[in-house]
Amino acid sequence: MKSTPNRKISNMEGDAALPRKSGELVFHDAWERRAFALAVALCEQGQYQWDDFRDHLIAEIGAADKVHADNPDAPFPGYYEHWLASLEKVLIEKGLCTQDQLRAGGGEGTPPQTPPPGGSQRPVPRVPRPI
Amino acid sequence: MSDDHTHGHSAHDAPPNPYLEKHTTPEQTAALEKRVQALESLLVAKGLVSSETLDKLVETYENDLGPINGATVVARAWVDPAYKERLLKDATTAIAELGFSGLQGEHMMVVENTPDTHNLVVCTLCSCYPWPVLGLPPAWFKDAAYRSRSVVDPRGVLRDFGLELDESTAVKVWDSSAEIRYMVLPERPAGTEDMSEEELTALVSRDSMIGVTKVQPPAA
Repeated sequence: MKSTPNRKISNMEGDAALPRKSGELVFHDAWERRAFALAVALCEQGQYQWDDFRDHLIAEIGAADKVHADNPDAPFPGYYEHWLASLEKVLIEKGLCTQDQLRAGGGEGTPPQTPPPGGSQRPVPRVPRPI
Repeated sequence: MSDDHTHGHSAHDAPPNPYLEKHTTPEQTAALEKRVQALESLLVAKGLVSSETLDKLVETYENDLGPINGATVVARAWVDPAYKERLLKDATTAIAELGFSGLQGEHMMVVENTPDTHNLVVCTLCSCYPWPVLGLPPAWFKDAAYRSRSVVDPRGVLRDFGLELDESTAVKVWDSSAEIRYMVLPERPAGTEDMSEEELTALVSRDSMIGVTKVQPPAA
């Protein structure tokens, strides 16, 4: 295991950037630390490229932001919830785990797309918000 | 120096990031703990990860995160004179060029150590620190003794860090502020001519970029 951080991971920018406070990584609970380590360890061991994981993370965050923009009352998941969902997706994608294995452990795997609030698949119009 | 300087850390942090707050209820947290535990057990059983490496790995990211960025900047400046010129002229832009950013509105300034001049960075009023390049400030950087003594007796401070400078070497002290964060470009040690940029990066210590030490040549 490398003893220095992978810059591709530590320097992620934009929405996918690791939450930090004055530079310090912010973890709220033990599981967040653990999920962080799992995703990084598997990448460092060559099970997938960091971009494979990051693409899922960006998509997860983007999707949640959109849901939240359309419906401010929707739950706002934390960063590491998106992280965990992304990890599960990349594990399935790379054939490292099956969805059944993840479900058995309480993981959601890749759940079917939940329809947006209102039960319809049509896009909810974005209401311009005051700045 | 602006009044902002006295506002301490909060005024110097990035704008609010929604992920800095906890979003999960205790029930959700418990479910997530179980879910990650199950995932870890599964991956350990498959021989894909080991629990010990996971602990170590988090520590690496929590403790060593920052200086590597600064070290990358220094090593690039050592091997690429054009980059060095850009860095000394406009550090904020040159550092962003390598993909490192994160400061919000503050400017970076890089000061170069030469055989004639040694630079030392301090924040006399609080602990302004270029964390996107240097990571977390060491405890002594925030210490009142370091902050006051660096200004009145920089040579004494350097001596405490084991760095004895020639009387002929001028010492310049740079006081970081809310607007400007300084970083030292240390001198490239002798005997490193054949080293790759990556090897050079590994040589550059955090303390050398604050200016309390020099970069040591590689162990023979």
